[in-house]
Order: sequence, then C-alpha cells, then structure tokens
Amino acid sequence: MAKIDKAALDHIAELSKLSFTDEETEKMIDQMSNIITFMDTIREIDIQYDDAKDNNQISYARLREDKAGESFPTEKLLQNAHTGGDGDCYVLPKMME
Amino acid sequence: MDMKKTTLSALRKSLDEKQISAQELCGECYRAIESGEESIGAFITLTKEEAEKAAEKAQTRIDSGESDFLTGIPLAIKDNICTDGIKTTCASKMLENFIPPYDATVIEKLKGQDYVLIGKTNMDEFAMGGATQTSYFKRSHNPVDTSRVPGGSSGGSAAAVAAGFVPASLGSDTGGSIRQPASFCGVAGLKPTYGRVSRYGLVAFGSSLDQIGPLANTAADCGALLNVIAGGDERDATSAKLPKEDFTGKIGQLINGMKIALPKEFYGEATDAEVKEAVMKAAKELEALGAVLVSCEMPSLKYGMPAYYLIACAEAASNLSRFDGIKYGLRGEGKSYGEMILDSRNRGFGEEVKRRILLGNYALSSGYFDAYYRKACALRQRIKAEYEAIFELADVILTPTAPTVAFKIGSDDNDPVKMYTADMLTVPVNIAGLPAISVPCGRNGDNMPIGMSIVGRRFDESTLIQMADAYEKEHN
Amino acid sequence: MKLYPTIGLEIHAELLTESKVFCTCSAEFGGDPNSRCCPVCSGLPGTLPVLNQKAVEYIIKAGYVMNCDISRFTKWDRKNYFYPDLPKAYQISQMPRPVCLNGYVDIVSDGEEKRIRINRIHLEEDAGKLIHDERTKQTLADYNRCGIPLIEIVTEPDFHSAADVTAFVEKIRLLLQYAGVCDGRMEQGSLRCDVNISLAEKGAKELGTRAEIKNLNSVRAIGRAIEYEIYRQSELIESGAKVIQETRRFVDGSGETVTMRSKEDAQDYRYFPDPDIPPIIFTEEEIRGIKSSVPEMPESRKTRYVKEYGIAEKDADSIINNKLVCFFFEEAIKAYNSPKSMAAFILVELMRRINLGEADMNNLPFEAKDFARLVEIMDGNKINRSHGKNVLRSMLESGKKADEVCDEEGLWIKEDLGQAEEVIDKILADNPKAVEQYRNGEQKVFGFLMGQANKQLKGAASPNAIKEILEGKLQN
Repeated sequence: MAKIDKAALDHIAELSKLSFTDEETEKMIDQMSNIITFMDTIREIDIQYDDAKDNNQISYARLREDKAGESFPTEKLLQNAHTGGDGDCYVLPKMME
Repeated sequence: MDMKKTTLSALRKSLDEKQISAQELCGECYRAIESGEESIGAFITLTKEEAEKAAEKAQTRIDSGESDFLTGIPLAIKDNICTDGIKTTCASKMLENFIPPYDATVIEKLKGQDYVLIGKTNMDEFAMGGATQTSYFKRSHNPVDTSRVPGGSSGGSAAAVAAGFVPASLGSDTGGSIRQPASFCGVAGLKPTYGRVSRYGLVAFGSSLDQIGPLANTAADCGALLNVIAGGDERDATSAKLPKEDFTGKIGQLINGMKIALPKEFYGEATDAEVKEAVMKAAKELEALGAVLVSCEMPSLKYGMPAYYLIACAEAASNLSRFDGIKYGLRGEGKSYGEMILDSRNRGFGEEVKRRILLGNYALSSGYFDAYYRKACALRQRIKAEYEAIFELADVILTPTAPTVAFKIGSDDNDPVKMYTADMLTVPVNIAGLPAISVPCGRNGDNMPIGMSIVGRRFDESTLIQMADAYEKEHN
Repeated sequence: MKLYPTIGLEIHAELLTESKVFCTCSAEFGGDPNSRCCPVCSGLPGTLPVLNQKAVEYIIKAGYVMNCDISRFTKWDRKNYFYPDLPKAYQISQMPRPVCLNGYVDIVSDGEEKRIRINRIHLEEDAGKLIHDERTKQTLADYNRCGIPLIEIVTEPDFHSAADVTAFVEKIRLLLQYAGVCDGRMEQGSLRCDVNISLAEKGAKELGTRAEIKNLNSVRAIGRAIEYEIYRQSELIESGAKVIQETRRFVDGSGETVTMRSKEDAQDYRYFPDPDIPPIIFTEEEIRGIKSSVPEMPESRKTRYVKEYGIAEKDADSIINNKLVCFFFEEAIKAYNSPKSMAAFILVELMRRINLGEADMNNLPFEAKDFARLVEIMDGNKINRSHGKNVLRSMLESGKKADEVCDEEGLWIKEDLGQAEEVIDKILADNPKAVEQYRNGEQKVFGFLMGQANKQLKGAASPNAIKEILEGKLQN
C-alpha cells in the first residue's frame, strides 16, 4: 500500500520548494512510500521524548558577550550573488505586493 | 616515496631534517594524482597553484626552525568544508561555482600551521550517501578495487589516502561518513565526539550529528591531526570548551585489563559472516594483549537507523532551504521569485538530496511531527541511555564498521532503503554523539578490506587511539 | 444585533543590544545596504548562530516588567518558511519553551482600569528589508536588519476597543523604554504591532472569525486600523456575509485595511529545535541579578512624586510619560533637591522650548545638574524670577552654564544691605502716615512700602532681604 498519495507528495514538495514532472512524481511516490514504510518501524515502540532531559544545555553565564565587531566587506560577502542597486544588494525577480 | 606507507610523524621528521622539502613533497602528491586520479576520481578540485605557494611558505617556516606539526604537510579536504577563495561545491550542481568568502575554523587552524592543501575531495552530494556515487561531478572508485565504491560520503577523502595521493585528509561524519569509507578503503578514520571539533564552516547536513574528522594511514596519525583541529570555538555554540589535550598521549600504554564490550546486535544476521569473523578475530587478539571481552546488548539498535534518518533529514531539509538562488548557488530562471526558486532547487539538487529533503519535511510537517520527528528524538534518548549502560560495564565498544565490504559500483543505485540499511552500524554513534575510530582488521575472500570500529565514552578519543594503535602495532 | 470586538496583539520590539542576536555585526538602525552583515547573518552555508547574552538579559527584563514567569530552561526553534528577506529560509525563534510566560499589564482605558494578560514573550531574530524597484521590475534585498534581536509579546484577546489597544501599546512602549531594552521608536520600526480582531455578539460562546492586520507602526495607525476593521467586519456580518480569516494591511492614506498576499502559501512552519543553539538554563541567582538591575518603573515613580514630593498628579503624569524627561528630572533633583519648583520649570519652560523645536530632549547642550543650578538660583532669589526663562534660552543656545549667563548679562541681585537700610529709612521718613497706619494694625500698607522699596532697590537687594529689613524697622 502506498504510504503517500499524489496530494501528499505535492504538499511536501511545496513545503520543500521542489516540483516534479508526472513521471518523477510517480517514481518519488513509490520510493517515498518504501522509505516511510521503513521509518514506520519506530511507530511500534511506545516511548516519550523529554526535551529537558537532553544533556546539552549551557548556562546563561556562558553566552556570548554583547560586543559589536567589524562587519564583513560587502563586496566579498556578495561575491556569489546576482547583485543590483549599487552592487550592494541581492537582486531577485520582482516580488508581487 | 610511498605515501601509503608513510605516517605524518615520519614526514614531519623528513621535512625538519631536510631529507625532503615541502615543495618536493607537494610535487610527489601531484605526481601520484596525475598517474592515479583518472581511475579513482578522488578530487573535485585540485589546487596545485595555491599548493605550490603554500609549500614555499611552509618551507621558509621550516628553514627558520619554527615548524608546527603540519607545516608543509600535504592534506586533502572534503569539499563540504569552506575554504576562502577556493570552490566548495558539496559535490552539488547547486554549488558548482560557489566560492566561500571565509574559511572554516578547521581550515584556519590548518593554515595557522602552514599546511599544504592539495585539493578538495569528492563526496556524496551534500554528504548524503554511503558510496560517493551521488556526486554531481563524478563517481569515486575504490583504490583497492576500482570496480567497487570507496564508501561515503567522505569517499574521496578515504580514496585519496588509500591511493597514496595524500598522507591524510579531512572528512565529515554524520552517520558513518568517515568510518565507513575508511573501512571500505582500508585506512583509519576517526569520528570525534560531537562538540570536539568546531563545525563552523562545515556545510551542514544534520547539524546535531555532523562532525569533522581525520582519515589517515594510522590511528596515531588520526590522533595527531585531531590535536590540530580540535578545540572549542566561539563561533560554534555546540563545540565543547575543554582543556587542550594530546590525543596520542596514551599511545604505548598497556591495554591490560581494559574492558571491551561486544554488543550482540552488531554481530547479527545483517552483518556478513566474513566481516564478523574478522572483527571477532581482532577482539581475540586484543584479549590476548590483556583486554577483557564483555558481552552486552543494545536492544534499540534496530530503531537507530530510522531514528537517524528522520532526525538527519529533518535537519537537512531545513539546512538546505537557504539554497534559493538569491545569495549564492545555481540561479534558476523565472519571471517571479516563486518560479526562480523552484527552478534553482529543481535543477540544483540531485535525486537523493531531493528525497531526503522530502522525507525531512514530511517528518516535520503538521500531523506527522509527533509520530516521526519527536519519536525519533525519544529514541535518540533511549539509545544514548543504552550506550551509557554499556559504558558502566566497559571502557570501549568494538563493532564491525559496516555490515559488508565495499560493494560493486552501481549495485545499490536504485534502492534508497538498501542504501540506508548499509549505515545501520555506524549511525548509533552519531545519534549518541560518541567518538569512534575505524581501523582495518583484515580482508575478505575478495581481498577487500574489513574495518572495525572502536567506540568510546564522550571525549575519550585518547583511549580509542591507544587501543587502535595497540592493535595496529600487533599487526605490522 | 450589537457586535462586540475581541482583539489580541502581537508586538515586536527590537532590543537595544550593541551586536546582533546571533553574530557580532552591529545592531544599529540603518547603514548602507548589506554593510552591517557577515557570513552568519547573511545565511552563508556552514555558518552558525551564537546567542547574545545581552539579548537574553533584555527579554528577561521585559518579562519582569510585564509580570511574567521566567523559565529556568529555555530553547530556540527554527520557524521554516521561504521568503527572500529571510536568508536562511528559517527564522530562529522560540516555540514550546519561550523565556517568558503568563504575565499581565494593567492599563487605564476610558477611565477604567483593566488588566491585560500576556500569554508569552519570546526572543527571535528580525528579517531583512526588500526594496521593490518599479523601474527595473526587480526586488533588492538588504540584510542589515537580519539578526537584530526581537522580542515578540503575545497577549491574550483581552481588548475590546481601539482605546484599550492604544493605551496598552503606549504603556508597553513606556515599560520597555524604562527597562532600557527598546527605544520604542515606532516610526523606525523598532516597535511594531500585529492586531488580531474578530467580532461576535456580546456574550457569545465562540469568537468570530478573525482577521490579522500586520505591521502597524504608529499608535495612531493602530487606532485607525482597528476602528476601520470593526466597521468593515460589522458591515460584512450585518449584511449576512462572512469574515474571511486572512492577513490584512493598513493603508495609511485611505485609512482602510486591504487584503495582503500571505507571506507563504502553505502555513506550516515545521518548527523544530534549532540544533545549532544549545538550550539555556538559568540559576535563581542569575534571574534575581537581572531583575534587580531593572530601574524603577513609571507607575511607582509617579506615586512617589505625588506622595513624597507633593507634585500634582497631572504634572507627575507629564513627567513619567516621557522617559527622558523623567530621568532628567530625577538627575536634576539629585543636584538640587526641590522637586516642585524643578518639575514646574521643566514642564513649563523646558518643555516649551522643546515643543517649539528649539531644543531636543535627546541632545540637550547641558546636563541635568546645570539645569538644576538655574532653578536653585531662581529659588534663592539670586536673580529676578522673570529673568529665569531668558537664562534658560541662553543656556540652550550657547551651552553656557547658568552662572556664566547671569555674570555676562549682569542679572545678579546684589545684596548691598547698607544701601538698603539707608533707602528704607528714607522711605519711612517720607511716609510717616503710612508708618502710623501700619503700627495701628493696618497691615495692607506694608505692601505699599515694600513696593516703594523694591522699586528703588531693584538689583541691589533681594526682595527677601528688603522684606526683612522693612519688617524690622516697622516693629521698632
């Protein structure tokens, strides 16, 4: 039995900002169903998560001190981007308002 | 010079005693690469020009008598570790032309010692895979048998060492990505404790699982490299601020009386008979050296793999959302932002990456969060507790690194679940954030290397290196 | 049918830290595009957030002044959605474990005291700014604002009129300003308000369908938007149509709200714990320390002014309603302890100059103690009272001290008592009739004699001294 249908796949694809052709969708539904079936083995165990018991907390005292440092050279920071304006902004197709 | 047989400390000595110059050593690496790389495919980018300059600078430092451990030592770096001014692709079309404007913390540390970067190594796209076959650029081959995979995702880093291109390299390990290729290629690979090495500059896959670690010819070399890259980092809040330590410091101490746990689930049906046999033989040899073997259980091992994939993919789905074509990476076509971002991601990511993003978003989405993501977190706590129970009884745990030896290229291309299952013995270590080292422990009937993993308590890398070294010395 | 509005608020306040919440870039307002940015706040691959301690201190202060419970264990989550002003495609925020929970703030609206409950306050990062270029049909992104620390204050739906809401927003702004955590400049966007509003019959069990009005950035706009929305929704309901659950935007020019395109098509944020930021634990001592560093709140100051200083309630309100004025007042009375005359001179003369635009409370050319000195001079009748405001003007224009101005302009009343005696003796001799009348009990002639003396002694003796001499002589 397929674990997910086309509507479900479309929904997660939208959340993921991915899209698939019909052919890809079919293959993906198939593979995702297999994967999810496999993941479902964890459903059989009854166990609760307690986030306060994770032992990775740090104390307030160890947080970063509030001190501003030098910022990064804008040109270098944007060296991989399409730029616009005076070359100091990221540019993208116009957003609808 | 045969890079396969050398160690970092031997190279250090040769450099300091002027038996070889840094430039000559660098040249040796590229000569080996020129003759062997075509059949291996270990690298995405070779940085010869930069390497020559770095070698020259290193030599000046050596000549002034102020060399550090890695001064003039050639290394290869996995291509998901950011290098300022040098392409860092994560083996993805998405980042085909991405040049980071900054160095990862580990790179800063290596540069501080004037190491020589030979090149950036091939990997599974965004470290998602276990065979270095999902790279957008090329498949990597196992130097022991080029019809087989080198393992992954740090397959390029393992193959580069195994092929003798470099004496050591850095990889990253989210679910076995250092240990498994080390095992497949017959080299040593260390996954440090979560928090031991700064993740700043490592392109994130599963942020709560990722660690950078060394691959080398020996456990001692892994320890020596860890000495350089370890340490708390102000830029990584998950890195641990601990006193400086020499991870090779326990080498040579007797392992007499040390307890080695053998959790039976790791030696189950899924593991090849020849692999089990080799690891058990190694266990007996360690016993002969004075160690005590302890049998134990890890009942939740079977949940480790699904729990791992749910957590890793959930984190990855979020981590990879930043690739939208705006700031860096493949820029899609489209009249609107919506069209542009879809096209960027559709064309930029490969199939396996897309599958994991989908799985991650599925596990996090409304209605499924508790059943999948939250349950996986609960299992993570359970598995941690089971490890803690074992460490009440023993000092280290010994398991096969992978259930099999390196498999043939193309044999698992179309079955994601089969591919995921191959990670079942390595992922629990990441889930629990523990350190583990894989070292070769013999070969199978096809003459392929078998690796065994020694797993330790958090921040007890020294003991792992001590024991692995004891085993290696017994064999050479 | 009488429809009754129910309103809840989400207020975003930018915190006055020096650096951003997760990196060391300056958190100052403005700057050239992308000049206050680094790889971390620009979302480059491999970068990691490191939490600013001051931002955590400030949210605890905010929680304290709003009577919240402060969690001893708090953690951060990722809110995942794609939008080009959000470079990581997730906002670091807090979901299940915010820093502050269950508070309240008392307000006075329409002369009635009301208690507004606070559901929670959490700490998150601000997003960047998009600039839409009509000419090139492009959108430009500036990430300077990315990572400025933001607290989100979420109220219970305890408001039932625009007046309730505006009174609350004014109060919150004041509390945050006094606590020193937010400058409250709505016009710069450092305080922004989202309003959730629905209408139902009074006493109805269920609330009506709500609309959300986003990003209101002045108290006036908030009031107008609510009035309009009450009108719009009543018209819809009364005509039998339905209110749609949606996000709306307030148009300042027309005073209407219009449907806004939703930020994201699918409203599933897939919150999960951010693996890059360890959860934080506080000790009781740390929380006590932060609470004790919060300055006295305006309400308590007002009570003190009325009860201890005898200042009129209306005047006390005028002082506390502007933090700068209030702090100036308190500094001034530290230098010269005469609260009533100080308050009067501030509220009348200083505020007049401010309101005329001749001075700026943020940038006075003198300190509170210099101002206090002027009031002291006046109170001591060292200069003619009517000259006080002129001295203030000179001080504002030149930045000179009060004493200096009085010297230069020769305003000092000289106390030449010898001359005063002579003059008064002569006046008494010239007016025997008046003296006679006074001694017979007609006290009112004293005023006439005083007037004569003042007139002839102007600038030579203070009215007090004249009065004393005159009284002495008349009694003999």
